Order: sequence, then structure tokens, then C-alpha cells
Amino acid sequence: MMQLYWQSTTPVQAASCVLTVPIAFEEASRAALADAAVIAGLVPLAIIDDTTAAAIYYGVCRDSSLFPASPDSSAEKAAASPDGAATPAKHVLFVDMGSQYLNVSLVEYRKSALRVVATAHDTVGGWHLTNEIASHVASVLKVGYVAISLSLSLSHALTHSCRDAAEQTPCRR
Amino acid sequence: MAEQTTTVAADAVASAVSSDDGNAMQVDELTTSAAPASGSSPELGATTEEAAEPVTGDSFILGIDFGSEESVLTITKKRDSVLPFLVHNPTSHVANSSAFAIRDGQRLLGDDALAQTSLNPQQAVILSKRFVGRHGAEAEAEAAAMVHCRLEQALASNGPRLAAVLPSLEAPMPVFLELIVAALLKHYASFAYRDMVRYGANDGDGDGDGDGE
Repeated sequence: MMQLYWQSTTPVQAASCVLTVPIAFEEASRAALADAAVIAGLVPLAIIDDTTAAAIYYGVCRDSSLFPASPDSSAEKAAASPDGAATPAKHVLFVDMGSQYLNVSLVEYRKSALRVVATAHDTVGGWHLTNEIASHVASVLKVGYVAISLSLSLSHALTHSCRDAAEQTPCRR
Repeated sequence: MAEQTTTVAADAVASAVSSDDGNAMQVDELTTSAAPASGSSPELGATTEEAAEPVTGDSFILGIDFGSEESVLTITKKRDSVLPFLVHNPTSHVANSSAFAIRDGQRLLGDDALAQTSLNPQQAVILSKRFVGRHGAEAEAEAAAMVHCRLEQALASNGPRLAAVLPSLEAPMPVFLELIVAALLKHYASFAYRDMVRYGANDGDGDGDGDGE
């Protein structure tokens, strides 16, 4: 097993890849990420937004009710409106909260295309929440045990512990 | 400006990493293809159209969600109606840490590096995604507040970009964050290659039986 792992860590040939970035990413950062992929031996085909990628996957793979396939009327509909203008559009809101960025996209689905109607983003994410929890825990520790002063590595360990605890806490409604 | 950055990094490819010209030439195609793709109205069937386009002759497309703290990969087979599936790393997890660290002169990637950030935070680079490609003037204060390894402006031909300075390197010099991200992407891609081999369709002859014949 381990031998298979080490053998296969050496890539045999270049693979094509599609990278996703937050909406807030600037053009320079997108280009830098593409450069990194080229340096890594990958061939970046496209760089798309996180929520757009989710919308494509949702539209193609998940929700077949967006595009109902009724065999008796589909040909008739296609003849009446080849561009799908007559079919009612469905709107889906995609929210993606990562560790650094918050992305929201409103996507309009029509019969054969999706369109990103509006986007919004912020540079606040779970990392900031974790930091707030960790700093609160640190302040409590300092009140209880006066002698403790957090070193850099200790604060890292505390942050990771807080993050793990937060992720393992079950959500209750 | 994007094209300038790309050209500079293509030079960085040639100087820092021994890469062939074929990869560097792909950058120009990328800037033309990435601009409409990051716009507002991609076609619904865009992924399958990309899949049908022969780029390097391999049979898979990687989907990489390079996150600030964790990254996730998917594999899609070209010219196939199989849905994309998630890549699992050797510890059977879907999420890979995006940390980078150096210990005893050796680089650590992913979860190993994340463990190292608690032990020796000065030698670890976290949140590289937030600062990659950005210039020092606009992000230096932000970087000072968020990361613990030293990030400083390094002179590049298109202006000062943020680079990481890791003290334990033999000759401490700024390492561009693009190189760190590239090392991470290569690390993740190795997991994907492993899954391709396991699923038996990357055998090079296209019949998908995994025997290479």
C-alpha cells in the first residue's frame, strides 16, 4: 500500500484542471494561481468563481426538476421557443462561506443556460470566527491562571483546538 | 496587467523550476480562456465542452478548489457521462490542509505541515491563498496581522510582490507564494493521479483497463 502511494506520487503526464477562486479574488491573484498550476505541471483550462462552479454542478448533476424532461411535449416546446425564452426561469441562491471569504451568488436557470444574476462577497470567514473563539478562550485562561502568557506556538495550538471543537460540535436546531 | 504577471511567472517557471516550454506556452491560452469563464454567464454545458477538448491527450480533468485552509479535488473523466467524484488522500480524507512548512531542511505539505504550524510557526506558511499574487504595499499590514511567518516584498519585474521568508532555509531568501502554491497543487495532484491509477482509466492506451496495453 505504501509502496503504491510513493510510486504514484510522481505524476506521469500533465493533467488539465479547472480552478475555483472566490469572487473577491483580483485579477492578479487569479493569474498567480494559474501560474502556480502551470509550475505544478498542470494545464489550467479555466478559473471560475466558487459559486459558479457550484451552480454548474447543481444544474448539471443534482436537480433534474430544473429542466423537466417530458418526452411528449419537449419537441413541441423546442419548436415553439428554441432559445428557451418561454420556459420560466428558476432562481437559486448559492452561499459559500469558506475560511477567508464569503461568496453569495444568485443564479438564474433557464432551459439551456445559466446566468449569474448578481453576486456579493465579503472577506470574512470561519477563520475569523475561530480566532474570536480562541482569543476569548485565551482571555478566560489569563483570568484563571495569571501566570500563563500564550506563546506563538501555543496560540496556534489553541486555535487549532478551537477549530476542531467547533467543527465537531453538532448543530442543533 | 494580468498578462504581465503571467509573463513574469512564466520566467519564474523557467528559472526556478525546470519546466518545458510546452507548459509555459499554455499560459497565453489561459488568459484568453479564463477571462470569459470568470464572467457572469457561462453555458450550462461548459464543463462537458471543455472535457471534449483535447489538450494534452490525457483522459481526466482535475477540479481544484484551492481553499485558504483546506483544499478539495475532484476528477472528471473526459468524454464520459460519469459525474465528477471526490479525491481522497492517503488518510481517506477529502479535505487536504493548505499549509506549507519546512522542518530540518525538508519541506512539509498538507496535513504534515499543519501539524508543524503548532510546533514551529515561524517556519510555516498558512493562508498562502489570501496573499498569492498580491503586492506588498496593499497587503502587508493585513499579512502582518494574520500570518506568523515573515512575508516581505520581493522585487519582481512587475513590482514588489509578497513573498515568504523562511528562516530555516540554508540561505534565507524570499520564496514567492506562487511556488508554495505550486508545491501544494502538485501534492494534491499526486492524490488525484493515485485515484486515476486506481480507477484504471489513466493507463495511457485509452481502453481503461489499467494495464497500459
